[in-house]
Order: sequence, then C-alpha cells, then structure tokens
Amino acid sequence: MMDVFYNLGLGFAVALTLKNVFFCFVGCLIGTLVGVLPGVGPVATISILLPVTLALDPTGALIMLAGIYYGAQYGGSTTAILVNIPGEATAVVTAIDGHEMAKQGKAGVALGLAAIGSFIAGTIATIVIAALGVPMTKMGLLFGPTEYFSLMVMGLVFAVVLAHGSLTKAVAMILVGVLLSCVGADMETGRERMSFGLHMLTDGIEFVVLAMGIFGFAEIFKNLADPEKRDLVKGSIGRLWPTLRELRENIGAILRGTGIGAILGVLPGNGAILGPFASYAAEKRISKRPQDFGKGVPQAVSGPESANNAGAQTSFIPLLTLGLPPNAVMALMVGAMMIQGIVPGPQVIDRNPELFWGLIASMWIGNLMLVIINLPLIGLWVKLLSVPYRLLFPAIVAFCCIGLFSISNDAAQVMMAGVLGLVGFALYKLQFEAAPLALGFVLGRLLEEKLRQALIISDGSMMTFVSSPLSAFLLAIGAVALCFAVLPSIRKSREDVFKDA
Amino acid sequence: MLNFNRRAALAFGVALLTSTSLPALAQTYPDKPVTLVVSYAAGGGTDAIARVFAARLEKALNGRVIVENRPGAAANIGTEVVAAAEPDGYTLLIGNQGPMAVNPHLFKLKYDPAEALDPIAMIADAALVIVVGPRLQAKSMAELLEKAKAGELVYGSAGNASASHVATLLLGQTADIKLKHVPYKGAGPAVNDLVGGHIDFMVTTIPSVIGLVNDGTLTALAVTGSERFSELPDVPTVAESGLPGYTASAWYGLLGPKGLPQDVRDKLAAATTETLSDPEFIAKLKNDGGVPSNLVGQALADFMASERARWGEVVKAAGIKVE
Amino acid sequence: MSHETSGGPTPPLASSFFLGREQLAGLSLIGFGLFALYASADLPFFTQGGVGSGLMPRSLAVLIVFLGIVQLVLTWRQPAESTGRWPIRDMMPVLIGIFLFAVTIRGFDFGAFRIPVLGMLVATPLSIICSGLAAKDVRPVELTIFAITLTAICIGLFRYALAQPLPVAPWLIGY
Repeated sequence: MMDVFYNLGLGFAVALTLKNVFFCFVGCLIGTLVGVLPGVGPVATISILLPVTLALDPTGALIMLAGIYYGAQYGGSTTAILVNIPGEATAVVTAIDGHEMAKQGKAGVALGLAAIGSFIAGTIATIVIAALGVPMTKMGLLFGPTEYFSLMVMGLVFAVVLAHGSLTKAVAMILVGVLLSCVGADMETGRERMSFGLHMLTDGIEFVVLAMGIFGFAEIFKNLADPEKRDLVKGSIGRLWPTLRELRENIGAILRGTGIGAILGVLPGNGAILGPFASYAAEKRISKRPQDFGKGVPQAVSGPESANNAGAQTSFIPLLTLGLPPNAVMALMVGAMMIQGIVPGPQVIDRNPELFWGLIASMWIGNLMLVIINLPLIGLWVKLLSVPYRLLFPAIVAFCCIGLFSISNDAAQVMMAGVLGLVGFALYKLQFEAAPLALGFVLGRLLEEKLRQALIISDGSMMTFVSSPLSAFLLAIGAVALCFAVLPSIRKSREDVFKDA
Repeated sequence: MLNFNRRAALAFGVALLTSTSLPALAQTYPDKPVTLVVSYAAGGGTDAIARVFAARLEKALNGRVIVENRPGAAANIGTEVVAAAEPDGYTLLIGNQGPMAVNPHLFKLKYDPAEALDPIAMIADAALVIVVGPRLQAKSMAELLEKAKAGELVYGSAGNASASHVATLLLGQTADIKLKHVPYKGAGPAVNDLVGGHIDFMVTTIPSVIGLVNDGTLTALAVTGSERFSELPDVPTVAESGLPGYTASAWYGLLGPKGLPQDVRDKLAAATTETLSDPEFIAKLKNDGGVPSNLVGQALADFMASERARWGEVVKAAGIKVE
Repeated sequence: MSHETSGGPTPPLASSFFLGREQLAGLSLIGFGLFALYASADLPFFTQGGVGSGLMPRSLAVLIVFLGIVQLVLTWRQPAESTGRWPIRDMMPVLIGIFLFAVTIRGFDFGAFRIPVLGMLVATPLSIICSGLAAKDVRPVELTIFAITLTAICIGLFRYALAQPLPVAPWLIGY
C-alpha cells in the first residue's frame, strides 16, 4: 500500500509541472467543448488532434488526450441535462431525471451534483487504478463472448426499471431499440439487413443520429406542437451548490455509482456504457420512492454521473496494465503511445514510471480542473438558456445539423435524424418513452454480436451460457430481476412493485 | 488569401480560354486545400496512416491537405465519392486492399475501382502477424498447423472480409486446414478475447499486438509479409515457416478520380516519393506497422490488378458472398 | 421525452369511434412488428452451425407484435384518451430547415437538377432562419442577425477550433 502512495507521489510530481498542468487544462477544455456540442465526439477529436500531439513529449501528449476523453464524458451531461440531447450513449440516463430537474428550475443543482459526483468518482477511481489495476484487468479478461452476452441480457432486464409508465410499453420500446440495432450489414456475413438498399443504413443506424432525432429534434417538435404545455428549462437554473442535506442524501448514490462504474469500466468491449444505467437501476431499487424516478430525482443524476466518470477512468486500466484497449478512445490512445515510441503493455509501468504514474495523477488533477472549468461555465449556460426559445431552438437545430453532418460527412444522416425526430414526436404522443429505446439500441448491438460469437465458439450449443459459471450467475440475477418486475405487475401496478421489493 | 485565389482563378480561366492548357494548372496546383478521402471512420488504422501521410504531404505540396472521413458500406462509399469527383487533383483517395481488391468480388459496385480511379502512387505496405494466446500453446507455425489438423481451431478477425480475415482464409487454403471464424468489430476486441483465452489465434496488424508480444502475453508465430519486420526480428515470415509463397499484407495507395491531368499526377507522385523518403515519416509509419512502398502510376495499377485477382480466388474458394 | 406529468391527463374523446392513445400505441407496435417481419423476411433464421442473420430481427419482430396485442387487450375496455393535437404544419419549418441544411452543405444531386456545394456559410443561416420561422413569436430582423452571428461562431468553432473538414464556402474562398 505504501508503494501506491510513493508511486502516486512520483505521479503528482510529474503531473504538477506547469507544462503538464497546462496540457491537462487544454485537454479538459477541448473535451468539455466537444462533449457539450452534440455530434462531435471524443473519438473524432482525438484522431484529428493526434498528429498535433507529436510535437509534445509523451507524458504531456497523453495527459492532454486523456483530458479530452473524460472532459467529453463530463461535457456530455451538460447538454443532456439542459437540452435533453444525450450526445453519448452514457448520457442517456442522465438526461432522464437531469432534464426533469432542469425543467423544475433545478438545473444548477443537477449540474452541481453531476460535477461533485464526477469529482468524487474520479478521485476514487484514481486510487483504484493505482492500487488495483492489474487484478481488475485479470477479472475483465474472464469476460468472453459468452459471459458478455449474459451480462447484456441482465442489463436489458434491468433496463425495464428505466421506464416509469406501462410495463408493456417499456418492454416494447427496449425490443424496438434492439431491433433497430440489427439494421445494417450483418457482422458475420456482411449481408445487408432491413436496409432497403439505402446507403445510409448499410452500416446501421448511428447512435448519435438516433439520439438527436428521438431526443433532440423530437423535443423541439413537441414544444412547437404544444406551446401551451411547453415547460422549458427556466432561464434561472437556481443555485449551483447543493445544500449539505442534499449532499448527504446523494453521497450514497455517488459512492454506489462509483463502485458500479469502476467495475464495469474495466470490462472489454466498452462495458462502461452499462455503468450509468446499472447505477440508475440500483438507485431506483434502493429508493423509498421509486415512483418518483423519471420526475427529477437527484440521486438519478448523481449516481449515474459518478458511474459514468468512474467507468471512463477505469477503462484506462486494461490499456495501461495490459495494453488492451477496451474501447475506441483507448485504441486511439494506443496509437498516441506508439507514435511517441512507447509500446503499451505491462512493461510501461516499469520502463516509463513517470508516464504511467504521471498520467494517473493527472486524472485526478483533470477531475479537479473539470470542476473548476465548469462551475463558471455553468454561469455561461445560464445566459444561453435565458435566450428566448424562439432563438434557442433554431440554434439547437443548427448545432445538431452540423454535428450530425460531421459524423460521417454525409447529408443523409442529417435527414435521417429529422425523420427520427418525427418518430420521436409520435412516440411522445403515444406516451412511449425514448430512453428504454435508446438503451435497447446500445445494448442490442453488443447482445447480438456476443451471442453469435459465443455460438460460433461453442459450435452452436446454447449450453455454453449455463456451463460457464460466471455467465450462469449473471443470467440467474437477470431471471430473478425479471420475476420481480413482471410477476406482481400482473396483479398490481408497477409503482407498487417497487414499493414492495 | 482571397487575392491569391482570385489570381489563381484568373490564371485558370485564362489558361482555359487560350488553350495553353495544363502546365499553368500544375504551376498553381494546389491553390486550395486538397481533400484526402478516407473510407473509414476517424480512429482506425487506415485513418492513422492517412493522417500521418497528409501531414507530411502538405510540406511536399506546399498546400493544405485535409483528411475527410467518408465511412460506410464496407468502405465503398468513400471510393464512390472519389470516383464521382471532379478529376482536378483536389479530391484524392487513400485506397487499401479492402475496397480495391476484395470488395469487387463481394459487392455489386457502382464503380469498378480499377476503371474509375487513377492510381497515383503506393504509400505503404503493412504486414500482419500471426499470434496465439493462452488457449493455444503453440510456439511455432509448424505447431499451429499440426494442432489445426488435429482439431478445428477458432480464430478471431477484425471483421468480415477485413485484411485480417482474408489473410487467415488464405492461410487456411494454403496449408489445407479447416478453421472456424469469429468476426469482431475491429482488432481491439478480438485481441482482448485472444488474451482472455476465448479464441485460439488471430492474424492481425502488428501495432495492435506488438506490446503484448514483447511482454510475452501473446506469442507471435510469423509475419505475413515477404520480409521480416524490423521491430520483430526474431519472428520468421510465413513463407519461411513452411508455407512458401504465402504473403498477405494491408497496403495503402494514393488514388484520384479517372482522368487526372498528367502534370497533377506527376506532381502528386513526386510529392509522395519525397514524403516516403523522409526518415521521420518512415519512423511514424513504422509505429503503424507499415513500411514505405513506392510504386508509381502503372506499377501500382499492375500491383492492384494482381492483388485483386489473387484475393478473388481466395474469396471464391472460401465461398464468401454478400447478397 | 414523454412524461405524463408534463402532459397531464387528457379528457376522453366524446366519440368512442376514435381510437384512444393506448389503443393506437398497441396498433402501432403491431404495425411496426409486421413491417419489421416483412423487412427481414429474406434473412435466414439459422445457418449451418450458427445463428443466421434473421434470428434476432425476426424473433424481436414477433415479440413486438405480441406485445402490441397484449397492449390492445389490456387497454381495449379503457376509455379512449385523445393524443392531442398533431400540428405537423407548425413543425414543418424545422423539418424543412434540417432538410435545407442537408442538401446545401455539400450540395445534392436530385437527378433533374443539382445543388452546388454551398458550404456552412449558406447552410447554417438557412437552417437557422427557416426553422426559426416555426416560432409563433418570430421576429424576422432579430432572427436574421442571430443567424449571421451564430454562423460566424459555428464556422470558427467547427472548422477552425475543432478542425472538422466541413466545407465553408467553396464558391467564395475555395474550401
């Protein structure tokens, strides 16, 4: 344990040099910017900026790129809370209660809790990385396609709790989401599925296009269609700092979220996306008033946001300790390290201790910096929101259009999002919820991919899902949760289910 | 800037009017940013090589070169975009073996890349490496082949019809062994499952595994190029390991729409050659697993034709079809 | 998205001839599921030794149809609640604004005629002004000034600060 503190000391000595603090600041600032802007994500930004980092020393370059990554995770929640557009899959959950809070004039507290939760999660995750990096990576490696499939099944079962209306409709939305994720070229055979020969569908529906359509554009349509019912985010966002009481009420959610996010972040194949909504599910289950979830519960913001940030951070673990990138951003970090002549892998910690520990220490500094950068920025968002709606929504349309176009430089994606906006509007009219659909969509991709991989490896035997103990365990949890959710609801309303459970 | 452009436009107009033709163009080319189309999303291997190349090409051309990602439809969209573009040298393409040599056998394409595109120059050639993980304890190619004959092995690939997939298909056909294919989305997740012991082996790009090979997590059995890779000097080539004649690599060429003016082509070819001789560029390329490979004009066209024929046979023998 | 709290209960329709919201929801699920079944009809369910590309989409489609029927059965006897207004015309300017952005940013080939590459300089203000017309309290002068300012900010932000390869105004400055 002493070693950990000695090493962290070395790390802080590296990270606190003026130059590295500056790179960290620049990274966090760019990251926040691309996170707030819908469409332009960290993957595109980092690959565009990769050649620029050549001029920097390796440690500085990696500190800056890492800052872009967690800055983007953080910035994404701002847009989700204020305008209900989750730019990243991980922000879908934040948007549910966060935007409700904003509508009630509590945007400040929502943003403040997100910031504090993220900071606490970041602090704990930094220590976790320093102390438990290697064993956690070993755990992640246990997850092959079989185990991953079962994890996704469990996740989809939990997704039901995201809804706060009819159970039938919520399940239907999840399934529609999974079905939409099947559109496009089949990964095994390359065969086009349900794409009607349309170019824009051959690679499947882009998540950002779906999210901006059914959340972003649909919200605008909704407000234009029912101006009398328009309850927008009020010009005032209220106070920023949560009261001591609110903090006390949320600290449990923050810590639970951190734990959940930290564990899921280590899983290969971007397990971090499960973090926020696993946290949401946990909070809803623990809460004494689960029926309020979806109507602006602070714990439903602070928990998932902490999970999101913890996961973003611990996803560095497999990269740093084993050289295995768990997601696209980390794969780019491999590229960044290679350009600098550092080969990622277990030897980095021995051969480049100042880089390894400097990067880890910089994560904590980066989290602190995000709070510092963003608290005054929240003031800026206030001003933005005091712009009258007649000007605000055309601005949102323009930003969404540019963001959509820049994803793949394809006009068809912009049009598709417009059409999906109409679909989102219809969903609203029929009182279907968009959040379960978005989650079904995100998890559905992994679900089918892992199912098919697992069955190829097992020669088509379904037994593989129960013969692997880990997989059987995950499926069992899912089955139990399903029973809890479905069985009593045949007799009673779902609100009661959660009171009883 | 504006003035300069007006002057250039004027010069261009005059050139057209007086039919003094194209030398005037070459002198001013490029007088606006050149777009280098990459048929994959930002963040992949081809994108990385394109960006390193574009950054150095800017110097050689003395003008801006902008990388533009046009992903979609198995990289066919980017090819279509460039094939349909004005052949003025301001829209260029980084083409690799996928859309150039493999896709014509799999898809009904709007444009035949061999006819709709002008090959300018080859940029790089990146050999792949055959690696095994903890699930298959093989120390050499011979051992791998022996185990593959004893029982069907499971291999991962970076995706259906990717370089990693077709190179393994060729391996299976050359060695006459049956293999089971598990496609992944990109090399990363597949390498993960290889390290976790969920699959037996994979053929993948060198950068995706070199760190894991160096520290002994994975074992590199052979590289697929015609020569050994400088960073893995002890790893033999597949041809050296008992499968003579086997080579497979990812390659990257610079192409433009059919009908580029000869002098623009010459200028681009010269700029590419200059770029490829820069030691700093070579070093960066090596990080992406590539070595410079300079085939200009017709030589590149011939190479692409032979690759296309070769992979066509592999794909046909494997029975891969995309409806 | 749809939150019951924001809408509040809508009064039942006077005539029971119309389908209510919940019944419509059930019917849309059935319709969507059937459409997905049709769209995935050509995909094989199983292949030798594995899952075919049709297994997931078709099983999901069947499940969705099933849930649609469940929804209909559960809500059949409920009073028909109206879905409220569907003022598509009020939303049209926004849709057209999105569409205009899409076809002007890099040009578009309609077959009969071709829109040249107009770039951000045209596409951005066009989409802002057009969609802004959807507001009931629109002020044209204010909107125009706002559009011009925002376009300048967007070009600076996306093209220069974030280095996105978006065309700015090829007809004017060459890129």
